[in-house]
Amino acid sequence: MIEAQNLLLHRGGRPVLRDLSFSLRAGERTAIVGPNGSGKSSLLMALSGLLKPTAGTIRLEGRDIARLARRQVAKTLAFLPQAATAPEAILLRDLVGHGRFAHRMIWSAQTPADGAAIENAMAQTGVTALTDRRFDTLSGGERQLGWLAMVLAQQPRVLLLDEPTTFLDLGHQGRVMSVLCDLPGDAVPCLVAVLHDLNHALSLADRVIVLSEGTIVADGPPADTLLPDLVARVFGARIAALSHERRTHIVPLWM
Amino acid sequence: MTRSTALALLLPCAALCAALLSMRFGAVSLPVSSVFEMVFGGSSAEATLVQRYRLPRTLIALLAGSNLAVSGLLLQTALRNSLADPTIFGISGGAALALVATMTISVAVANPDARAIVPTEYLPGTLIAPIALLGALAATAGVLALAWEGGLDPRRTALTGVIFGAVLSAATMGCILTLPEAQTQFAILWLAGSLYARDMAHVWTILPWAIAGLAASALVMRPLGLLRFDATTAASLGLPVQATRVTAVVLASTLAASAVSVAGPVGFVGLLVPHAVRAAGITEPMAQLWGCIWVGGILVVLADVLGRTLAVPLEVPVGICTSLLGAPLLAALLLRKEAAR
Amino acid sequence: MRARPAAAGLAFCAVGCLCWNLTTGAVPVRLADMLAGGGDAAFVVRELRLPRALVALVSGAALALSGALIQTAVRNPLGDPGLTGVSAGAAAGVTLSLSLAPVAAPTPVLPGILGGFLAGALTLAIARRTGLSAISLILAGLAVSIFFLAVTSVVTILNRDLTQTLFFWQIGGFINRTWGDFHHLWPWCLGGGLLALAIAPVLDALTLDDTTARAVGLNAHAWRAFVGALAVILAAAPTAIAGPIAFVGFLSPHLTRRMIDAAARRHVVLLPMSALLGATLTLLADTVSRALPLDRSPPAGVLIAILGGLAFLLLTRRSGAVRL
Repeated sequence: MIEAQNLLLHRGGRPVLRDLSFSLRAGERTAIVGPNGSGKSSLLMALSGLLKPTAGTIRLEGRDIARLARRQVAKTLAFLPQAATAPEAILLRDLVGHGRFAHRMIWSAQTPADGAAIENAMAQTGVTALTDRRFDTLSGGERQLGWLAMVLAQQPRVLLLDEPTTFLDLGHQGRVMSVLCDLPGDAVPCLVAVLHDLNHALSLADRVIVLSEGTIVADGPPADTLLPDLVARVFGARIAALSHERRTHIVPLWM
Repeated sequence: MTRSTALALLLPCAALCAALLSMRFGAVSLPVSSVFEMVFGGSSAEATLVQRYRLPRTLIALLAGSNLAVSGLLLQTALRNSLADPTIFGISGGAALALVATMTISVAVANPDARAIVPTEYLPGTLIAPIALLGALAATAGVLALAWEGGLDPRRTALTGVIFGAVLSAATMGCILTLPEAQTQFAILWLAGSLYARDMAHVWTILPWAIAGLAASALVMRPLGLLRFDATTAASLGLPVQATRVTAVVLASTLAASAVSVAGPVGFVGLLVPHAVRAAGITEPMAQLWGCIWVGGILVVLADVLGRTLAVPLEVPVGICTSLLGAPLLAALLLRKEAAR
Repeated sequence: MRARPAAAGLAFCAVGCLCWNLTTGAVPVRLADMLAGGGDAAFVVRELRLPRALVALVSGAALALSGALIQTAVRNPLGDPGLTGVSAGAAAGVTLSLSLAPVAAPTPVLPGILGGFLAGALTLAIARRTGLSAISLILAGLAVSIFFLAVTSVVTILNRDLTQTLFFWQIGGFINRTWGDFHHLWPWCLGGGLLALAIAPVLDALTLDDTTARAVGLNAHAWRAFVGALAVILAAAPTAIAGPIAFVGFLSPHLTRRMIDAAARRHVVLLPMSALLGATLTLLADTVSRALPLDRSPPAGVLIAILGGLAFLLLTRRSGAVRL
């Protein structure tokens, strides 16, 4: 679906990504993890075509993303930045409706397909009841679900999420994660999320890419990548893997 | 019928009422009932007065008001800057300087003895708006380039625009003062934003630009609505952000320039009206555009009526009336922005 | 540069500009004739050019002092009587008093000071709520300026007899200023200037933040109010006589600071040098606009606004000298 070749990115004269090559296939749910400043967000921005790489190419379904118009990219790929700001006093329904922008002609009215996509996205994220509420009156968790509904309404084949659970309390983190885990496979064939919490990566992803200082240090199924010695090396933190109700959980060990 | 639909239909009616008021009041007050028949036929002296002077004046006020208000709306949305306004950003100043400078040169070169009540009469009608547009675009580019530092800080851009505008208006004043003395006063009046002595020819100067500009605004408004998100989100939703911004700013300059070319630099309509429309609870971009078109027209028409009736037979230029309203709003905006921080 | 040679240089410039100003004009006068006295040349210089030049000189000096005082009083690098609305307020005061009570004409400075106080207080009230950041002050000043300018314009238009006079006065300049104007002007400027110089040590302390200033034993709030009032008087007097002139008050202290070593930047040095520089700038503007090859020379205010505005934009750019 999306493929990076020899990706090199400098920001402010400093290399942020050094010669990355990988491809993300349909049916994969990928978590990108790594310590602060390892280049996770930059990688996501580059993959979505919003940051121009210094060298290397990104191919979206075989086509060079730098040569595609924004509108064309947005029909295939959706990206939710970490700190998106919403228009003042917008209703949730209208916010989600903006996800259809790329699919509509500038002047055409909303088609039934648009309406169905919006309804469906709100049902998948469980915000249907909030549809007529003003976005700025919602709680932090409800807002994050609203944002998710917006990018799902875009009906992307590739969905990139930048730390969708930051700034949320435990309960809301759980709601967002369960929405993501419960997404039917055909809704979003290729899901990529930058995640801070390794447990979120474990529960969501079938593939984990570990970034450190702009290079990939591990890439594979969670069981092969999120190993105590690798985490110790990359994050400088000791962890233990515990089994609880037949699932693995990562617990940090404090000195 | 929802509240917003009712509001949307009410606005043209309100504009019509304002226009009737404008044709009724003036140095000679006329009964409203007779204004109608005078506009459509009628050949008495009063009918001629209405047809020749008050009707074009009212139309120009409506069009200039709409153009300036929409210009402000486009700028505020595209630059995400609540202080954006063609006056504050020096755009009107650029248009005025271009017109006055061209006029000064043409007076000096061609007809040093000519006299005109409206200074732009020295220039051929079809050239007025393009000249103003050149000046406006140059000023816009200048202000944005000077204020740019890896991004546009709203307050810094406003400050740069204000100072740049002061420079431009001083240069304009310098040009005007080289005119023959008898002309100076009319030119200064024009600079204050005045609708004194306008006729149908001025309507034809602004009308095509207003229609084209407002239609283009309607086209660009929906994509522009996406810029109410941050730029990253807007781009990831499929908006070519920079191209949209540039289009909107050029369009805003065009609208402001065409207004300035017939009405002089009427100030703060572009600041006042979009904020008034938003304060009325209208958040959807197309609805905001519709609101700005009518409220802008109404505001300038009413300000002109006020200026004409304040001290008959003298006239207070419409631009001074709008400034008296705009200054407190600017202060309120500065205070509110801080309260929100 | 050390303070002493810089001050000497400035004084030399000021005197040079004064001589140039007096000898330029419709009738050129030779410097030697002027100094010798007697004849038509001496009459032209004594009765027409000298009062005009002195009004320009004193106005420039007072505006520069006013700008320096505002910059210190509100600890804001963009302080300027024109940009903070004080000049517009003073202009409104003068215009109102002239048209409401022409009897007040002999003392145009007093209503100017009242208007200046009102405008300055308004600007401060708005900007204070917005944290007195450099840009907020100017935007608040803009709002206040626009309001008072609009009031001035309305009064001007409604008062037919004075319309022409007031329009030209509002552009700011020194054309046709008389000895009478000069006599209205100088007492306020001299008094204000001396007072400012007398409190120079306090001004140095006021460049600190309020807490520190109080820690060194200063009633900072009261002093800031006093300094602000002094700045208003020093701005209102030239505005009443020469019209509203912006940027001189901003530029003079900044250029002076750039001229001298950091160690010498005390107000006892800064104030007189700023005043000299301000006087030089206004004299220069007046002379140059008179020397322009035009049928009618524009008032100095036009030139000052164009060049001053451009200088302001250059100095406040990110890479410029003045940090916002």
